[in-house]
Amino acid sequence: MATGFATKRLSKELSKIHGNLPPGITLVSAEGFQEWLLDIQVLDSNPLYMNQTYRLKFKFSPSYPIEPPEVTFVSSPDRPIPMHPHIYSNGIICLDLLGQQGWSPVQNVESVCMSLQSMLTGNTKNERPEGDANFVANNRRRPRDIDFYYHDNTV
Amino acid sequence: MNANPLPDDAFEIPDSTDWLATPLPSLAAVEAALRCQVCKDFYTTPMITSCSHTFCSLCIRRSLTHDGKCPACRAGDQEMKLRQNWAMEELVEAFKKARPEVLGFATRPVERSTSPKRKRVVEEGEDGSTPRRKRTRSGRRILPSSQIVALDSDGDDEDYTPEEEEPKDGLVPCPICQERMTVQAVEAHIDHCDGEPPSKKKGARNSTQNPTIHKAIKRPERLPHPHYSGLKDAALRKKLADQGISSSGSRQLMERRYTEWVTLWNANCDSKNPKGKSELRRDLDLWERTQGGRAVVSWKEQEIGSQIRDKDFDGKAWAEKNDEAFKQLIANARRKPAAKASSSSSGSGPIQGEAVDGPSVALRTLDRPDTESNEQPRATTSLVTYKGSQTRFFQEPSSPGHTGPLPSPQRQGTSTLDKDTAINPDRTTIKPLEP
Repeated sequence: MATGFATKRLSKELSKIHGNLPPGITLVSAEGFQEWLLDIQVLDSNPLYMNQTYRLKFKFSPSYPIEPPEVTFVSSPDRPIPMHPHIYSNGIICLDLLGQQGWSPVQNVESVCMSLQSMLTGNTKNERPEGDANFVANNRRRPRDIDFYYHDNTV
Repeated sequence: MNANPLPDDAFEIPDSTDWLATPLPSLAAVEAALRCQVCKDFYTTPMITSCSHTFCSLCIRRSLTHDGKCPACRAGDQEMKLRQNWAMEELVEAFKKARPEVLGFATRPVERSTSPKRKRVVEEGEDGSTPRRKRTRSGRRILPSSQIVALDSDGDDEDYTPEEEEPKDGLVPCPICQERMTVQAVEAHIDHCDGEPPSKKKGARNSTQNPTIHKAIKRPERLPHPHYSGLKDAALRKKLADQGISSSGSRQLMERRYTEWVTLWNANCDSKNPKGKSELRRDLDLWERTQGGRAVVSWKEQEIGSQIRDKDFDGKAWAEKNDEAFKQLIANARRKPAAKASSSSSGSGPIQGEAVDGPSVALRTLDRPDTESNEQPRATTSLVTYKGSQTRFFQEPSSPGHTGPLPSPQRQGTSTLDKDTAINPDRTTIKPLEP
């Protein structure tokens, strides 16, 4: 496999991740450099997210980190999709950081996880985004393409 | 590191965290400061932006080409305004040179009482055989004194002298610039020595063959990024050919290739030791394999979206290429309302009527959330859920083999729609989120 700059950069991130991750973030799997899974937990006593673990899926393009990774929550029996006014029930996250506009190459997997942790920590509303059902039923676009339309959303 | 999916020796990845396990953890911060935030590697040809952030030349040029903003602070900047950060470059080179030594020293067993002038030499044993990058816990244990021999002078002092490595090549350093050369050559060299140190790591070693010639490589001219919109295909092809690089592929690929070439080229111009053109071509070849024309298919699929958004997009060719897929979609779309009408007489007539016009209209039918949201508007979902009463449509001779997963052209066809802003069904659902 040719090693483009994405692979090089991700291999560096991976070695760092294996060394130490901030509390509440764990690497689940990193098979190759296209897709990684990480688990995050909200550590403070926010009643919405207490004692829950959420699974994140990162998908990297060969242009990472120039282009943002595609980050979504994935659900499984013991990994629900967190309740948040900017997280759709299919796991798609509405966060400017992950859009073409808000992304910066200095961000990394760890910093994205931490941003999401803090996005959950600061939330008090037990609700989904407006039009969630409709969106979930109809959306076929990749998250990176959706972000294109609502980048100016402030979280 | 046990969970690393890659064999450790496939990627030798020195990282700033290597210091954390040593008695010198504070060096982790030092090393982190010498690494580029974009590639996480040591700075290669560091450039400073207008906002005074430093990145590798290639990293910042790629970033600026992508969105014209500083990766660190998101302030707008231009490639023209980048300046070399020589101090950083020297710092990085010096640190890189010192790193293995210092790390090796830091991971060696230490006994506080030894005078700093003395160095322990571990006699050949399982621990002392190699200076280790990653220290294991066992490396820390104090070895029995019988295994430790303290030396007073000789070779051990070299760790403490500034010129740490004195290659035994029979050469002497120039007293002015420290470049190494034969004794005879020094005299001739001193006359025109400008005091500039030999180009750091490569120069010092490679110069042994031809020491007297202080090669002042003429820096190549930087290339401008062309305005692609005003550039005809033929002109662009000529530009590529002039640079000696491939002019194959679509217009969009050619543009991306030329942009990458300009980026590589200009970053090379910044370098203290510019590479040759053939080496740059190898770099471009790597790009071609990872992101360009020979990249994996999944990447191509992603690219299709932006290609269609492009105003130079050749819609006709696209329509022809995907004609079959579109027709199949149209056929599917027609059947669906028909089937609906037969089961429930709800008003699906208009949709059927619309569907005859062409691919985009037919696709819109599939994509329309208000009329179809309850009935699996997605082509892919449809295939799965159609198993019941509607299976028969896929057994018709007109669309054989349509029961399996969709052929890729069809997926491309639908992704056409996905990215077409004009008919974006989800826009309304997203809008409420905007402040």
